[in-house]
Amino acid sequence: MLTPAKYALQSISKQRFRSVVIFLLVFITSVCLYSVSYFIRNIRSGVEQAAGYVNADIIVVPSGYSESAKSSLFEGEACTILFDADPTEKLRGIAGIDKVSRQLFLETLQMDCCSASGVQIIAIDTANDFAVGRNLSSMGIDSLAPDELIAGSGCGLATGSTINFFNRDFTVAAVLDETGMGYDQSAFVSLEAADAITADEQYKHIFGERTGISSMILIKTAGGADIDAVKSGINSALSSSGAAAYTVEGMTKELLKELGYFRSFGTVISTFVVLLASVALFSVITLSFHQRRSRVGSLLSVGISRGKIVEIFALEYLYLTLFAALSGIALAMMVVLPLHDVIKRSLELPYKFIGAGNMALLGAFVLGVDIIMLALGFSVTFAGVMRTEPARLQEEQL
Amino acid sequence: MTLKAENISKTFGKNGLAHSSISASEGSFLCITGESGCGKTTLLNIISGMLKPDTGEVSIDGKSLYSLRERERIKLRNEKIGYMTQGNSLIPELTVWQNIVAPSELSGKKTDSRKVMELAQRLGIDKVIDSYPSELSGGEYRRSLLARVIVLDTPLLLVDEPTSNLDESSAAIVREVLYEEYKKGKGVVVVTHDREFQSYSPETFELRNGGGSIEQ
Repeated sequence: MLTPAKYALQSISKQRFRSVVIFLLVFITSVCLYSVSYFIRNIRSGVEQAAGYVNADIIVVPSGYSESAKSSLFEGEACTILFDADPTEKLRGIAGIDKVSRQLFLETLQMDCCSASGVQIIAIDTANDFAVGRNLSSMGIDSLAPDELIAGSGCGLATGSTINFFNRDFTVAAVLDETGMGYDQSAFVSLEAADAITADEQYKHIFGERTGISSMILIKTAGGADIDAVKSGINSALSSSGAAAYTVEGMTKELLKELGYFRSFGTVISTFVVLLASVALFSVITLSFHQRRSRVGSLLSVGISRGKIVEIFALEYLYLTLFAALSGIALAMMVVLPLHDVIKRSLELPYKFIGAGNMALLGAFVLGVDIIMLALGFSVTFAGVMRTEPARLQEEQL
Repeated sequence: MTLKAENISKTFGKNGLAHSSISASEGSFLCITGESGCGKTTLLNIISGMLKPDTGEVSIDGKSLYSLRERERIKLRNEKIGYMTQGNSLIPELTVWQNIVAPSELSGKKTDSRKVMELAQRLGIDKVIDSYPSELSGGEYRRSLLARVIVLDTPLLLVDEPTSNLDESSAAIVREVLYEEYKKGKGVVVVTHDREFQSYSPETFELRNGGGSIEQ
């Protein structure tokens, strides 16, 4: 039985050149559109997650280290930051502060499988930490032993494995879910373990003679407190101690600005690709217009309805589009997924996997754009043909 | 079933069809002849519902053809009027078999394979039934076009130049098959330069630039 679907498939296989051109146009459009959109959405996902994950309102770091702290927190760039004198106690007395948690940032080059620029070791106060620590209880961890660590998702470590930092063996107690920020390239140890490292004779040349040192103080303000006023209060209180306070919102605002640039750039590229492909598709469809005219005339002369004719040609284009778009999306996925960590490390922005569900939604979006693009080219070209008198479609026979 | 065209005209620049009237019904055989460019194909296009005349009236069983909706006129060409056009109108992407069954099967009707094969044998195209139109000779092509129209089993057949550019043996097969359809009670209207056809037809309508008329 000859059906419109069978006719459409035969038409695709017999008109190879036309089919290949349409396939390539839709395929390339899909690869570009999917890759660019995936990339932008991962950055957006990373930026959105980063601010929430830090879960602090204000960060206090040694003066002049705000960029290093930002790079370490959001971009995974390892660094060692040390306060000359720990300001924690001074902070506790400032109005509007609810919680204070200190972290110690140590850079090691010993696990360069994680990152070309080394691994950030972050010592956390598991009892008081409200950023990373709040996620530990959901992982069934109440505290970290001095020889245990929590690995970031991008470190390539498995739970139960052992790793050596600063000449000490640590067992991986758990691996964090991807955060999209610097935490993915970080390893978290207890403050006790960090204090033991900084007190070790062989590292005195790095950390000096001090004990109980810290790098960053995370502050959660009390409900209803004016964050900017609290920040000003902290800066006044710490003006002589070489520390400065920054709001997390201010830090992420810059990231959002950078995201805006990326998004605009991505939109321009995507729009350009879609426009170019639309024009090319329209040209291909129009070029085969004369050939199609006589087919339509022939089918109408033997009583095949216009609706059925549209169905046949629409199916032909739809099959090609579906095949090309799905192949393009599949190829884009095969390229962007294995390169996820490479892209993440090379970017100076948070970058977080959007998840399988969102990847599928993005695929549906790209497919939708392809189908709309084709439907426009098809309908504009065929609207004229379908309005023409049957005999005029076979003009040589008038 | 009676198809009637009265005083129809259609102009294309300097050429066209002027004030022509014909009538055809089941069981009739009408030959239309005339010089090239006098409007023979235009006449067939008009009476098949493919081209609206500038003036005049075309009716089928007393009902005005061009007052029908286009959808109904298309349906008529599938059920009442089989129209074999002059040009190379087989679908190149389909085999001969698929081209023959396409008008009915794409309209949702089933075809009797045995009947199609018998018709292909009568027309001498059974050996090329799985070939594509590009692989056919001119004679095989015209006979395949004829098979596509006959298989619809319509009461009236409009056939445009069925034997043009055919060798004598192919032309003889075509004439014979059309005569058999006429003998079965179908109405046949043939536009042709082939004088052999005139022996089947009690009257021949010679179309001139000034028009003409004949009724059967």
